[in-house]
Amino acid sequence: MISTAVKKTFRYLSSFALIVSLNFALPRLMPGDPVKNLIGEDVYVSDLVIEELRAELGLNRPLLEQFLAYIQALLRFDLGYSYHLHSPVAEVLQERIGWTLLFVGVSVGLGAGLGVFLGAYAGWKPETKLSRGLSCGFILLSCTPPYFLALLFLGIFAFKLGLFPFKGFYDTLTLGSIASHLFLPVSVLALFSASRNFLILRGSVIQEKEELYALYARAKGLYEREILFRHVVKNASLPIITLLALDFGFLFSGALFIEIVFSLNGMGTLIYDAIIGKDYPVLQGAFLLIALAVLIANILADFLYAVVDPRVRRPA
Amino acid sequence: MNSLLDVKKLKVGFEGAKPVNVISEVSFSIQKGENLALVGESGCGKSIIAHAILRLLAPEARIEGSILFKGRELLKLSEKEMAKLRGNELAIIFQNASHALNPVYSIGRQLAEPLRIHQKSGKTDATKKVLKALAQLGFSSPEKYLKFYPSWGSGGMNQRFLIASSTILEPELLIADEPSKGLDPARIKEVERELWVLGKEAKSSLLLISHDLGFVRRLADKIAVLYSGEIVELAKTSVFFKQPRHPYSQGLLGSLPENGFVPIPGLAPALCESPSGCRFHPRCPFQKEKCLREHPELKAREERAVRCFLWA
Repeated sequence: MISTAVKKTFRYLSSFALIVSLNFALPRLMPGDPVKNLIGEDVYVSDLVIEELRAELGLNRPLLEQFLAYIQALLRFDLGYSYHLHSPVAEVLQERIGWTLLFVGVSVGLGAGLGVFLGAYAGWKPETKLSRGLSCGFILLSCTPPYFLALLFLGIFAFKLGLFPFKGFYDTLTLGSIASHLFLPVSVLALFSASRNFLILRGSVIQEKEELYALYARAKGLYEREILFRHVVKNASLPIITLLALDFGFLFSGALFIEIVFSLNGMGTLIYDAIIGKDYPVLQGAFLLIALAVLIANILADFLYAVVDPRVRRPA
Repeated sequence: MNSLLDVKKLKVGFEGAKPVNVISEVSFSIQKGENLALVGESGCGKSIIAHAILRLLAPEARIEGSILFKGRELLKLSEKEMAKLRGNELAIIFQNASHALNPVYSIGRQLAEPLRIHQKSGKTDATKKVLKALAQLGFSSPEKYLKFYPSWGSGGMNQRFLIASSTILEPELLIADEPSKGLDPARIKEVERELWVLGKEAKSSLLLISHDLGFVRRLADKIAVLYSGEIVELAKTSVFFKQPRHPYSQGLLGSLPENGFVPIPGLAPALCESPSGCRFHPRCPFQKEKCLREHPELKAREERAVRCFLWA
């Protein structure tokens, strides 16, 4: 028991170390002068300033020293300075990530709920017209890139029908305003996430309902849907935990595109602007943060399995 | 006298690309407090009969005939009415206990479930009864098992959990499908005692399905021998063991270790392709020409019924 915990911790720590090292190495492996890259091509600075900056960033020192300095900075939550935004990267990220996490969190939650519920129904009664229709619809959705769906929704519901605002997280910082602004982007991401959960759960329920415990639940006197919701769904939902963890990075990147379409000032637009403006410190910081988020999602999934599936843990 | 369970001319078939008949005209009855055993080799249709009585067969199963339980025709009940009987008055113990229990719910919760479904019991009340049931099945500190999960225990433990779950409401008819399968002798004794106690104290009747003839002999009042989807001999246990009449029954007893371990030659036919004439003729040491062509009827005489031309 203790040894597996140690093993797991070691595994997570080593992936974290790998992420950090990659994050250190990538900008240094890129072609061109890192200092020029750091400042960006659209900003003019004299050679003297560049040399000063090089010394200040320690880029003229040996690689190992640079690495140690980088780690030290990380420990102080210092992710560098964005010359484009004229503020420390950590501050910029802190400001943006909250919104994106709200957006992604609500969407993934809704998507999981919707996907599990409808997927369970479709797997329980796969022959009905409704569940065939649902399956077709969700397969279509899962094949559609989220940014395309976002454009479609924006075109139909915001421009044509005028039901929702076009852009931004809010006009005034009230719950109503945030909700109406987030409705479309959340719907798009939730539907996309639901489509993936739906397909997994449908297959999973089709498989699980043939298990003997489902028949025994019937023999105990449970009636139809009670068997599904009291016995089958929990077993069938276990793969969803893995899917959510694995999908987190994927959904996150989808969210970034959706943010750009809806002009939401979250991580997506930040990264987009950073790419356009070659703002490497911001990109580096964003990469680290997202990688960390995916890592945490995986740790949570690991932990969650031990809680919900007794086969993963041993008796106390 | 009204029987508790009266099965008449039960026929079971499965639809499909090639429809098959697996059970043909099986009739038997069980009185209140009486134990009947269905014996026969694997694949002769014992479990199908059990599942047909509880209407647990897959939707493509065709069931004909009549199954009267306390005078009610089970084959005509709606699924909802059936659900009210199942687990309550009519319960079953499945063969494969480790798979019959739900892997992600605790034993305490699963054992309490029949109480909560049928008696709408509260949590504390249900827990009390669960602890009592566990204690009765030989678990010395039952509290330990409330938060226990099927994957943590052995097959034998799960078998006893399953028996506790199926008998917790003291059903009037308990169908036990191979309850002794995969258990070591000490555990079989415990299961046997529990089933016996249930019959004596709760006045439950038992439909015992087994190929463990020793187990059957100690528990059953009557024995029905099944071969290739039909009953070939039906008799009181004492009468049957003293002198089995059907060649197949004789073969079964002869294959017991204490009777010399002589196996019946040949293999049991698959349910979907039963031989013509008497279904046992390819393996029968006494076969005559008539047995190849004609199908014998089940004929009752002197406390027993036998399906054989030698008996007629």
